[in-house]
Amino acid sequence: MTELDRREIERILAAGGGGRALIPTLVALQERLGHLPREALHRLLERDDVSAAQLASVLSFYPRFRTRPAGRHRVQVCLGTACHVRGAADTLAEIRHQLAIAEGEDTDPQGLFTVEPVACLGCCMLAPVVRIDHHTYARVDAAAVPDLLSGHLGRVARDDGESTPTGERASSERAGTGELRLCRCTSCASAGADALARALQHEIAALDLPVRLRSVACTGRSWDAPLVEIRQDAERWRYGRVDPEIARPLLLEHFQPAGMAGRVGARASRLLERLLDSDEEGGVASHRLEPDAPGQVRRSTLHAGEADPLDLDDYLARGGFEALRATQGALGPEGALARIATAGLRGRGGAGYDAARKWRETKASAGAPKVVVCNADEGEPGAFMDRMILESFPFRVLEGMAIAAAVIGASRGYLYVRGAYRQAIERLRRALAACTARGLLGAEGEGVLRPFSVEIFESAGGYVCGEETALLEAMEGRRGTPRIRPPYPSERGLEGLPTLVNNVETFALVPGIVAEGPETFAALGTPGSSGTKTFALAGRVARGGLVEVAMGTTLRQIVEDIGGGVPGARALKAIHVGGPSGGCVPAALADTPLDYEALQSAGAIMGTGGLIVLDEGDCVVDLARYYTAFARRESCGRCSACRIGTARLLEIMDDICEGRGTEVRLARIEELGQHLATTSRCGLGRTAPNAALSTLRHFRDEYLAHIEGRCPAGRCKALVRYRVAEHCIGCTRCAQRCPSGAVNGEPHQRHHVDDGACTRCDVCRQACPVGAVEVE
Amino acid sequence: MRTVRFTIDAQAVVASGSETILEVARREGIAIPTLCHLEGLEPAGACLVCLVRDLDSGRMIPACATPPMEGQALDCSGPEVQAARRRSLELLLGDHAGDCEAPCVRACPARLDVPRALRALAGEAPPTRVPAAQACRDCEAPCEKACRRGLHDGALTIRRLMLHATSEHPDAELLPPVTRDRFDSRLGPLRLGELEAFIAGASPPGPTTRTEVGRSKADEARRCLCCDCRAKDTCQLRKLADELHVHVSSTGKTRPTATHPDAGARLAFEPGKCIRCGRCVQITRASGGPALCFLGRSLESTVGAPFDQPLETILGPVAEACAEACPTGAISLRGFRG
Repeated sequence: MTELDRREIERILAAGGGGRALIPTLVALQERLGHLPREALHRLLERDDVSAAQLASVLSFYPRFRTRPAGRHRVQVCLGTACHVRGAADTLAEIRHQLAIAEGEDTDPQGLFTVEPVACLGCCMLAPVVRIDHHTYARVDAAAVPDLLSGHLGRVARDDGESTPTGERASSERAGTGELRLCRCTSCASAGADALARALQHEIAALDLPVRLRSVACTGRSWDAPLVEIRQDAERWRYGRVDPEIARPLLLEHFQPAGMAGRVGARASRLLERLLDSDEEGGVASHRLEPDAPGQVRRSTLHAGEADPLDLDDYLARGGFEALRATQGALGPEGALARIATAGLRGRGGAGYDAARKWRETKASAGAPKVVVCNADEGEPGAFMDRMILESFPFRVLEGMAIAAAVIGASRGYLYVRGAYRQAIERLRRALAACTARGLLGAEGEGVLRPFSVEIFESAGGYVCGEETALLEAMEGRRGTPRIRPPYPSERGLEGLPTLVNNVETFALVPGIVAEGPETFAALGTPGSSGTKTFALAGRVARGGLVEVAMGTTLRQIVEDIGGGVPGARALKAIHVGGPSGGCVPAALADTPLDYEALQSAGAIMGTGGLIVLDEGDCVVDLARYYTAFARRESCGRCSACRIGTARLLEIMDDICEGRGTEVRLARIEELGQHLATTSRCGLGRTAPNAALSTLRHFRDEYLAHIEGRCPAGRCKALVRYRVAEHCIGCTRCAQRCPSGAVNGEPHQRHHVDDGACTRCDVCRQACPVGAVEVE
Repeated sequence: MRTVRFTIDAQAVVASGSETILEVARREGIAIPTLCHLEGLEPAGACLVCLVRDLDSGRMIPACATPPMEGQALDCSGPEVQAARRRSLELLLGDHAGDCEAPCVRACPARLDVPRALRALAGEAPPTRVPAAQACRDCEAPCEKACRRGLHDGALTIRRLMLHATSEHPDAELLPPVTRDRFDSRLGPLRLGELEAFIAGASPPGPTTRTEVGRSKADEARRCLCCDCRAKDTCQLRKLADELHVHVSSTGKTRPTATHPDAGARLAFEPGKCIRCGRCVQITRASGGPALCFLGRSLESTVGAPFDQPLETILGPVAEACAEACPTGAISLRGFRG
């Protein structure tokens, strides 16, 4: 440990400490040092406010903390649902294999890479996704792994400091006649938006174009990312999947170079000849996009593709903070609350509790001061709604929190943000600073409006901490064990104070409802479920991404009209709604409307809004096993039902997927599921069996097939075999790529798979250029 | 003071102040079983054997940690409640690695309490008299076939030792046979490494003779692995299994690793038997000294000492209180080991 590290430790400890500050302190130490070295922990234990028991129990609870040194590069392999469906487990295995990481280790022998599986990186349309350091790599299947690792090292070697994940410098101050709009949120950045922004900036300067490049809120069209919108006068054009190479022709298509017309013009025309006038692959015209499919209604994502996420003036110019002013002025807190009630807003965090009722209960609770907490710990695999909203609309979330604070009479607010959401945290910090500087938020005496100061609490992980009482425990510096309710947080929350906990999207919907009155919102949706809901649409769908639709829209409309249906020849099989807590809705019930109660009766839940589309090639039993494994891993371990019950459930699911199931055990799934659902301490345990129960209900035949030793979708590894068909051309690619040496054959001859050595990693099938590797 | 009127099994009751459902029930003489709850400690709501059912919502509620609500109607004894409590217990038992009775006892036609007799013979427990004269004389000694030591360096010569024990202390208290109708948690065949842990835990300090001929009877008795549970008569898990008529001890494919306490230690700690009730965590925390804590998450969560500190240092003055509070044999005082 260097002297500098020691000084850093002292600096961080001086600012932080134990008690409530414990988790932020540990997070800060780890961010600085890469891990939590013994020396730092010893220094921490010397303080009076940290006990060994508190430190040890917290360290071992949160997945983010590590006490072993990490490799120089951090590889995060997303095991989210969309990535899982597209083979992330194989990608992970292949990365570990390539790096020769030993069983039980996470770092290669050279100490170069530390590989860690993560629950979800929230880039579901780019699945499977791998993040190395600050670079996110899209569509990394097992066959792409060797290039990925060497490519990353090469990239690091020539890195020009592009890795600043936010890179907000896109906004050029230069006035111009035209405007280029580009989203640089995490999803778009991982699809190449940062490199594109730099290329565009460079070309604008080089060509001396009268064009302004603006960073805008994400449109959610992840499948087309990076997406550039060009505006000139009243006209607009959109281009998708734009790579930096076509930055110049794209600009020249729409703008005339101003100054050095001669030189540049000549060069431009040469480019134009080569690239523009053809519709060939790679030409500018081939990137042009059709307008959005109709069907979306933007409320929490209002002004997507238009507003600058971090420009407070832009937000104010679009009516921002008017709702807060009204709440603190003419309309009054009661008036605002009445609007929320009339709008029928239900919490978007999953359970759908009546928001106005929650606000009223917190307001009525004895005890002061009151606290507002925004739950931004979106931890479920396959969901990225909150991340998108935080990154693209941070002011709206802050305003929503401030309105809630004004209504319930709170002066303190916290944003509990998932630690993996680096850009969201960064943008929130900036948005918060902008609001504070302008006196819109902040402590007493700083501004014109009612004092309300907001702090960001960076979470240390753990899906269960998305449960509101576990979240409060984490904020108080303890293990994220859910509390037994009652008392509810509205009565006794953070540090015993009445606390309002709402989800990001709930807060984002508030300013709109308060500003324009409840009628428009209430008119959307169904009688019991009003307004709009965002969904992360991913899986086997042509156009995935973030969508916002009116409640009452059917699942089929989302998948087919907005998502463009299932690509390829396969048919829609099911839609998994609501992540690990949710359930699988079969294609036959795809006309189920988005409505809290309707979804529940179909065996799913609204959840926070993950939609994973499955086609006939996906195995629902494997999916149910995946979610059960998730719940088992993420259980806090406090109550017997969830701690042991999820483990027993997973054993049964494993057995079924590996051909050892029996019908008796199907009955056991139902029995155990019922026990978990009715007795668990918190929502995680109560909803943990949903995936298994809903698939068993709708796809019993498929379970029975597994019991007979067949996986109809050919996905359960223990039940399938790989073989090379006769039309093998003997190109040897499969044999070269096979990590276990199971594929053999002479060049130009048909190859063979040695079933005993085969690990079913699927690399050979992906490598085959003629589709000769078959799964049976 | 706030009062809440509600019903338990249709009987009208009143809670005052912050009383929980369990406290009201106990005051009214209504029995609700508990494993994690202990009077004077914070309610834990962890074991879920104190479940009662809210008749309106159908939800199962841990009585120990929940205050009643006005007008609530609770079912505390119906078949659903009994079934749910039984399932909670089954889950706990399936994650509990330990034998209540030793394999030799199970094999014994007369159900003699072999380990206890051997401990007496080894001088590690008060002398006892064993009713073995008839039982053992013509017996084929299935106990010796069941002895776990047989897998290692030869089974104990149990029959010979028992016959010896019969005659040695004619005036001592008679050791009653082990009853058959009690719940008996079963470890089954030992896993890799477990036998070694048992051997290491059982070997007495000091030199031992390898050959049978040179061993004294006391030495031979000291070879006993003491496969039975120290808490077999006080274990609340076992008692509750009897009360709720649970017979299966393992509901899962996997069980925790069975452990065996270190020889010579005053305190026996067997984490494999722990049901994570957290009583010891709370007792140590309340003592103001160093405390035990929960470590890890999910099924892998354990109760233990932070940063691998020795358990005895942590427990120190509250060791006896923890052993007494432990609802299983996870923490016990090695009284009969000396």
